[in-house]
Amino acid sequence: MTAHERLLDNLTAGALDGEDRAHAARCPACAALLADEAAPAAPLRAEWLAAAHQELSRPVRPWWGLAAGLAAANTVLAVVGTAVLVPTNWEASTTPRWLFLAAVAVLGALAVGGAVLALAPRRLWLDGALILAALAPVAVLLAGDGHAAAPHFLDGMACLWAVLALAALPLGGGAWLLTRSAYSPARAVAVGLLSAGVGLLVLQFTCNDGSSRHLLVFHLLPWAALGAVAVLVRRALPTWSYAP
Amino acid sequence: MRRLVKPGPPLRRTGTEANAPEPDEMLMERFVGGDSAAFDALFARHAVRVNAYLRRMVGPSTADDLTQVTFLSVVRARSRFQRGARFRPWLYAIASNAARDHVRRARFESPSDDGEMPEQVAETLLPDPALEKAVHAAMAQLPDQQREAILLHRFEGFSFGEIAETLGLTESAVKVRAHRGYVRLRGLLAHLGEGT
Repeated sequence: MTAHERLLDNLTAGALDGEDRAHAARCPACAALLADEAAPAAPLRAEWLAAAHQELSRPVRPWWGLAAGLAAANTVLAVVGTAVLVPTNWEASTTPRWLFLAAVAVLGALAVGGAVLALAPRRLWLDGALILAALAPVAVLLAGDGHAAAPHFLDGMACLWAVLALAALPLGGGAWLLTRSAYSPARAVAVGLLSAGVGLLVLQFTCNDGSSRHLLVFHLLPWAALGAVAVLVRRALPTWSYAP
Repeated sequence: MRRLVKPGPPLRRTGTEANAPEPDEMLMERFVGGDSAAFDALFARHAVRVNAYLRRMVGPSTADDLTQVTFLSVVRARSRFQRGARFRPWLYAIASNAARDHVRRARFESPSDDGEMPEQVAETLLPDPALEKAVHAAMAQLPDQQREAILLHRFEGFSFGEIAETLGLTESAVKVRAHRGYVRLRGLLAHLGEGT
């Protein structure tokens, strides 16, 4: 190990010793690494504090209240969407009832509980939302009964449009809530997938085509695409707060 | 993924600590509870250091704005501060996020040819001496992640544990970043002369 390497290791470890300092005295490059500098700070400025005080006069809306609002809106949207599109698959599906309900539980947890998990400041909660999102395609495919209902493959486009349409409101609300914390691609993906999860949940009840090909192309492909769209949307939006 | 702060146990002041300065975390708890004087105390305690950190991160012309944005974010997102979490890593996470966002948007608006920091970020902070100029110029050439780790470790006196909290990484990942940053920084400073 050279003296340079020793100094770098000890600098990282916070364990610089006399030997390192003696080396730095002979080595301008290493001395530059250890050089102290005057703190280049500006003096405290009154306008920084004034701006914060102005902000203090506004009411505080806690993150969990807003996230719960999104979860409630997703619930209402899923119920209304299912009623409007008619839940025929509940009777028509030949999938075992427990498997059907397990898929509904996963998709419901993603679309509703995922809103709170994805927007929480704790990393662990966000991970929970991402795990739910990872389970969603598995649930959709396992709950498909393999029955191809549409005579033509492209008839399934209606399902694709349904996923996109049902995601519009949750994604808009979720994107707005995302601006209240620092830009995080993982958080944006989670919000995109939970927003599109409303459509998956509705289609679980209303789409009678249970073939894997239909589910992959017309349910899961737009669902995944909306995860990516959410990242792009969030990147383009201004940030209201840079808090984690 | 980054900038998420792990919670710890809630703080309690004992009688023997009564004369010590009130910890940041207690001030923050008071602030979250509605005491704006507690925020003023936090601001007075940290604003200059945060400004210095941001000056090193993005240069003086932007640092003042980002300092204001950082403390605005503290006010706006006070409900996101987790009871029991440490304040300083949370505050610097906000400052780092603001700086990173500024750099990201600056790159998007005027990408440089070599993919390195935009010119504004590379501006030197102090006109002299030459050594400081060289260090600042070399720092500006480091990747963002390595520069953040070095600034927090070397200049803000953060432990690797605190940096890990600030950046939402594991401690070992932060050590790797810092060490690689130091190695690269030294390489960039090699023109100053090699010793034995």
